[in-house]
Parts: sequence; structure tokens; C-alpha cells
Amino acid sequence: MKVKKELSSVFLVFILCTIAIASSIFLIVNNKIKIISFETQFYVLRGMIFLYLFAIVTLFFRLLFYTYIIKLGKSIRFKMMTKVFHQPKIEGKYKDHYFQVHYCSRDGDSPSFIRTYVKMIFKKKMKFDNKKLSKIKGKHLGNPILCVKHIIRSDKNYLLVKTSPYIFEKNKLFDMMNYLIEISHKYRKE
Amino acid sequence: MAIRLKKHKKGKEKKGFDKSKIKKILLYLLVSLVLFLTFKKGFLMVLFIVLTFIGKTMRTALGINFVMFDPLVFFAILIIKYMDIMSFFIFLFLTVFLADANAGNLTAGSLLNYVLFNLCPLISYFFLKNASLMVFGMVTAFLYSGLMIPIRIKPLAGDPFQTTAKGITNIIFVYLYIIFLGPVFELIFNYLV
Repeated sequence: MKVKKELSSVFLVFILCTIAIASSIFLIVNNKIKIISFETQFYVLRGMIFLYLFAIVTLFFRLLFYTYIIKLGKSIRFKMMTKVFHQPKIEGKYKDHYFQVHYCSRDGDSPSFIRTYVKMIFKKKMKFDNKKLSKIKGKHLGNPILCVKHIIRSDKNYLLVKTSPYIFEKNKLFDMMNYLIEISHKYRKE
Repeated sequence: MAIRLKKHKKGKEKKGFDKSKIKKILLYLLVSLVLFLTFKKGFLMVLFIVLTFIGKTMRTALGINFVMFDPLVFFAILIIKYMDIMSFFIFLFLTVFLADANAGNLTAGSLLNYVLFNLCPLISYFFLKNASLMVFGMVTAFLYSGLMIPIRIKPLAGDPFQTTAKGITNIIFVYLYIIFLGPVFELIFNYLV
């Protein structure tokens, strides 16, 4: 529902922008605005059209990406958890464990390149050997493993595997989830 | 379906129309109006800072940090060319250095960015002070990308694809902004400053 609301408000804004630009073109072409010089009107209109087209192209690719992730999520029975303009997260159950796949891109030291975070979410308190987890690096079945961490915050408790770049193949996602299950058994502290 | 530990329930209870938001918006509008009427340079600075932050947030939210479409370089060029060097330093300090420090991202890469953002427009300013906005802007953009790509790839061991993409998209977007929005901002500066 939230996504539908968000999308409908975006489309409403676009319809309003289209009407505004179309009416500006009409007024400028018919020389109806006489207070401002034609040159100024032309520059402003050109700038508006540029921003309008830029926004349309960005939105189009965003929606394309978003719907692709929704379809991917549906194919593995995962559900989309984020809105259109946020970095997509899909969540669901796999082999009796809860997982979340987060397609992200962040600024900073080195993590700004596109990445896939696969998270195994726990409802109970868990303890892992963080020293051993931090040593896990390299490749797993062709997927580069950038790091493995156990994240505990007030509302979060999950085992995280960072890979790069985005993973869109079902089998690769299942590989990563199986890998996380394997790690959770191997490095768990009792 | 959200699988999170339920600790922050109280925050979600608020529903309906939030009056405090309208108050905030009205306050911002009032401050902007006062700035516009009393201190036009300050008004433009605030406008540029807000637009730059919107661009940066969009980049992160859309997951395309390797596409430098935020207008930071463009605004830096406009400020140094049409306003003054002091405003240019303040603008970069607030939008690059302080923003990164506040987000906890103050690394070698971001410091290099800060130095290059300062250095490249300054070089253009001293050598091409009276050139057109297109020449001034493109020289700055090429200088920035030309220095950023090799330094970030080699000594800082950054990702080559991402760094190159950043450099190239920076040039493309500075060109597009100058072509389509440059004349509008020139008119604004001629009117306000």
C-alpha cells in the first residue's frame, strides 16, 4: 500500500510538471509573457526541460530496477521491504531461517561500490566468535566474500555477509544463504 | 513480515497530520525569505548547500554512488566565478569536509576529494578568471577527474571501475549542468549578486 501511495504521488507530481512545462512552452511560443525577455524565458524553459527529462530517466531506471528486484524476490518467495526510493531489501524464509538480501551502495572508505548484503536474521540472542568471523575472506563458489560480521544493535541481530557486486541469480543467492547457515553452525559460541 | 526485534514500538504509534512539520516548513520559508531580502549571497549559499545535499542523498538512496550527478562541482564553479573565494571555501568546507566528518566517512579518499575540490577551481580561477563559464567549468571538471582517477586508483587502492565511472560522469554532468542550467544561474547571479 505504501509503495502504491508513493508511486501515485510521484506520478501526480510528474503530471503537474508536464502540465507546467507544456503551458510554459505554449506561453513562450505564443509570446504571451512580455515582462521577461524572450532570451531569459528560453533559458529557464530549457533548464526546466533538462531537469524534467533527467528526473524521468532516473525514475524510469529506478522503477525498472525496483520491479526486477520484486520479481526476483517473488521467484524465491521473498518479500520487498523497502519503498521505491530506498535501497532495495527483500526478506523471507529459507530452510527454516529468516534471511534478508540488501542491494546497497554506500559512500566511505572503500564500500561505495555496489554490494549485496546477505543477512541471516535471528530472533533469539546469539553469540559468535567475531575474531574467527573477521578472518573469513576470499571466494565462496565464485562469489567474492568481502567480510562476515555478527551485527547486534538494539533492534538488529543478524549474521552478515558482504559480497560485490549485485547478485541477481537465484542459485547464487541460495549459495550465499547456505554459506551463512554453514557459518552460523561453525562459528557459534555456546 | 519485518523480522526485527520489537523494541521501538512507541515511535510507530503516531498517525495522522503532523502539525510540527508545517511549523518547521513555515520557519524554513521565513528564514529563507529574510535571507533573500537581507543577505542575498547567504541565501544563494544556503540554496546551493541544500541542492548539493539533495543530490548526494539521491545518489546514495538510488544506489548509484559511482555516478557523480550531484551538482557540487558545478556549484563550486559558480560560487568561485560569480561570488568570492571566501564563500567558495565555506561552501566546500560545509558540503564536503563537515558532511563527511559528520557521517563518520572522513577517510583518505574523502580528504583527497576535499583537497581536489578546493584546488581545481582555484587553478582555473587564477588562470581563466575572465573565460566563459563553459571553458572555466570544463577545465575544472577535467582537472578534477584527471587528478582524481590516477590518485584514487594507485596510491589509495580504490576500485578502478568505480573511480573511472565517477571521473567520467563528473565531466558529463558538469557539461550538462553548464549547458542547460548555466545561463539560468548566470541570470540569477547578475540579478542578485
